[in-house]
Amino acid sequence: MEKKIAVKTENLCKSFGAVQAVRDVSLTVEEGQMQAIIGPNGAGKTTCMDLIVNKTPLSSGKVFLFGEDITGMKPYKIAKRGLNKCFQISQLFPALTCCQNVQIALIQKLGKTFGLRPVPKDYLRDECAAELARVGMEHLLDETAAYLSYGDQRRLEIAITLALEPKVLLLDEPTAGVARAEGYSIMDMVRRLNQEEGYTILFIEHDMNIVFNYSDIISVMDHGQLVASDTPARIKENEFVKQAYLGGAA
Amino acid sequence: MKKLNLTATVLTVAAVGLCLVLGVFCGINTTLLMSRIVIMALFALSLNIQTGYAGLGNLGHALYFGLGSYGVLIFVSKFGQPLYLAIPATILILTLVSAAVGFLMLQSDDKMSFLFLSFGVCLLVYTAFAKWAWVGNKTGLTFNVRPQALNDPRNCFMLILLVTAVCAALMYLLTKTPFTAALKGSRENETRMVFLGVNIKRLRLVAYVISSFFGVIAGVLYAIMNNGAYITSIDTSMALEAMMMCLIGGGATFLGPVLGAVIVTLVRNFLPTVTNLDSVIFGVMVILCCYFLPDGITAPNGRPAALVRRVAGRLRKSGSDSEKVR
Amino acid sequence: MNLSTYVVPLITGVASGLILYLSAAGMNLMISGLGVINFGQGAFFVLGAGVCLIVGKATGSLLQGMAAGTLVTFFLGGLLELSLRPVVGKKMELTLMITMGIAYILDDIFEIVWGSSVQTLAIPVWLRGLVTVGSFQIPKYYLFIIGAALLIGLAFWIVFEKTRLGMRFRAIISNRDMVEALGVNVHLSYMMMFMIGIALSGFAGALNLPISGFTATGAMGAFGAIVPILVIGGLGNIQGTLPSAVFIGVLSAVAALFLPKLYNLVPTVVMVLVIMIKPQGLFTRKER
Repeated sequence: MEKKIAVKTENLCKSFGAVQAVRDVSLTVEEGQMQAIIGPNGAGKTTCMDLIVNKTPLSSGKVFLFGEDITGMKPYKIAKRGLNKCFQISQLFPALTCCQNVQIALIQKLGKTFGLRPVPKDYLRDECAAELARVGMEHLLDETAAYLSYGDQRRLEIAITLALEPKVLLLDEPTAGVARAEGYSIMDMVRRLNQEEGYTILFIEHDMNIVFNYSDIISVMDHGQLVASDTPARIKENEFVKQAYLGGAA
Repeated sequence: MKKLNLTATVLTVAAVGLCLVLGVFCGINTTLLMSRIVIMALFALSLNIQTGYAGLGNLGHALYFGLGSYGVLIFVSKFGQPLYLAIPATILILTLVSAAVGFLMLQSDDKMSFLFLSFGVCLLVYTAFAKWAWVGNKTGLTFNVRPQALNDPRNCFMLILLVTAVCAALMYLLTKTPFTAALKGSRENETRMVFLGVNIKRLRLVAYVISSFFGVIAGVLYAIMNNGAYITSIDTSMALEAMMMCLIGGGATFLGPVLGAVIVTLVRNFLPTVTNLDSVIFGVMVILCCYFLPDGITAPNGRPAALVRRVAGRLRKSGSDSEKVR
Repeated sequence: MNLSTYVVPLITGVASGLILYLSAAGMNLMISGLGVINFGQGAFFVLGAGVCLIVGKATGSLLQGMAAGTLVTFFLGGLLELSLRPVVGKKMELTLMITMGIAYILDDIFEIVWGSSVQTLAIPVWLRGLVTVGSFQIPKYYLFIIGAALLIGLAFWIVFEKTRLGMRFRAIISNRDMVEALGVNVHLSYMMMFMIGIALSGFAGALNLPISGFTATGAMGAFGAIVPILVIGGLGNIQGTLPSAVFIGVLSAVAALFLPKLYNLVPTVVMVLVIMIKPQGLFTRKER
């Protein structure tokens, strides 16, 4: 059974002046796959992700989404095509409640962003509650986003993005700054989405336990280059990777 | 929740009633003042769609207000059209113009640039009109555009109040739409909106056009009220005053700009008669407002709102106390 | 077409462009370093001219007047920065309102202290008259303006690029939060940026005094004149201010030859065209 390729990059490069942040990265993510990108700090992982969604314009290379060339496409158009990213620093609507946060995403999904017909105050409230329930936050429906704990803010970010029913979900360090148990809880939820609902997931992580337990494929970046891309078992054995990153002991 | 709505409705009805009384039964000067206040309220409400909901500071909104007045005057006095044709023509043409202008100004995707450009465009038109004899240079145009029935200031006032009330109701309904929710999102976090797949430029453009539409209507009413169009209506200080109305009143609530309009109009109207330093006092007032009431008077988290809540709480308490006695 | 008919307008165009360059550069410094759009920049322009007028008349020396105008605005810049501190970081409209409030206040003060008639200061004897360059006669004062503006511009550039202070400015411009996090006392730098930014405008106003005179109500006009320069050069783009200003100055001067009544609309029209073609400004080299 031929697996479709969800996201593919070809020779992605990004230079900030003289600094080459991303060098010739050719990444492939299959549909329904859960792939991790790992690498030491400054390896270019976040930059690479930003290039894929065109948050940062690339210097050269190509990006494909389900075979369509999306290189240089305006970010909102890419997002509309189902390639959605959760940022390292949560991008929420701070003064609005969790319900309102998700509501805006749902409005966009339903295509009602330009809807000029008045709606009642509890518009989509049940649907928002359902979306928040997915990340275990339905009890925080009316809590203001700015007052949430850090971990809950990460979850809200994920909830907002999930509300769009993305085809490919990019997560930039979803468990960073979060307590270990909570981190596992978040990754369990993500894994469930991947295995039960078929979401394609590409995520950046630093916690090796999470990476090795929650991914189908691990891509290793170092100094802007893609050093290896393989199953967790083979990555553990990869000499290159061991040297550069795992320091010999996995 | 229901009780709160009742209070708001009662207050609104009372306010409108008060307006009516002041405007119709208190002598011609009050009527004219009230007419001006109501028009300014409409103007401020229209601007708030951009400033309050979209989070776009705009220093050129006076453009549509002024051009609204000029449009009516030009159609009637220069083209000899009857008023009932001049009004829709002015509104239609200027709304289309606002779409073009807004499109251009939103190209840079940057709020600061937008602010600047709105100012620049307004200044451009102001300068052009000031030197253009056909529109009366700095004097403006004067012509009898009013129908007979509206020559009585009280009738004129009632029309102005009616139109403003209808427009306000429409704008209120607008705040209940998914569009406004998205607009607020773009104000709170632009990045997030983009990466939800929303075309921010288009969103803002629609807000801009709707806002300008109501601004034009305010200008049209002003022309009818004064039988004239004046260059001060396009003046950037008019635009600034409009922003001040939204800011002083508070962009967070729907009626905040109305309150701001009342205050600013009254101050600007009465202060010059009392002192030569009216600009100084106005400037100081604005600055103090920025320090102590940065979200406006009606801000839900601000001091005035807290005060109102405390007073309301005490009233409710004394009410329940008297019940206990019984 | 006689070439000489263009030379003098060109020179005057460059001169007036450079005067506006100073004010615009000050503005860009405040925008890029502090994120503040100072709507009072025009008012300080007028203030510089006004102080120059008073001191110049009292001492009989234009140069002393210019120095006084620059110093007064320099220190007022510090006061302005202090008055903006309570709202730093809050929404942009607040700083705008405050700067405009100050412009309103100054407007009234101008009328009361200086009166509403246009007043001017005579050009000192040693700067009067024409200088013969080749076959052209150029008014000395305009050359003085060009020289003075370029000198100040050079000094500004040197400070900005080559000194410690300038390095701090550049750091703040590129990443304000980081600099604060590093524990550097940014407040002093902020204040310096403001004082320099305002003083540039005051100096420009004083320089302009013998040409256009002092008008109590000229603040908005002075501000409006730099708006096209800022937009075409790129808002906040300090490097783009000079070419943009010279461009606008020359453009206006040339336009004045063909459209004597409408020439001061040309900069704004060009501004609108620039927005359509390249919204970030013509003279920006920054990567987006």
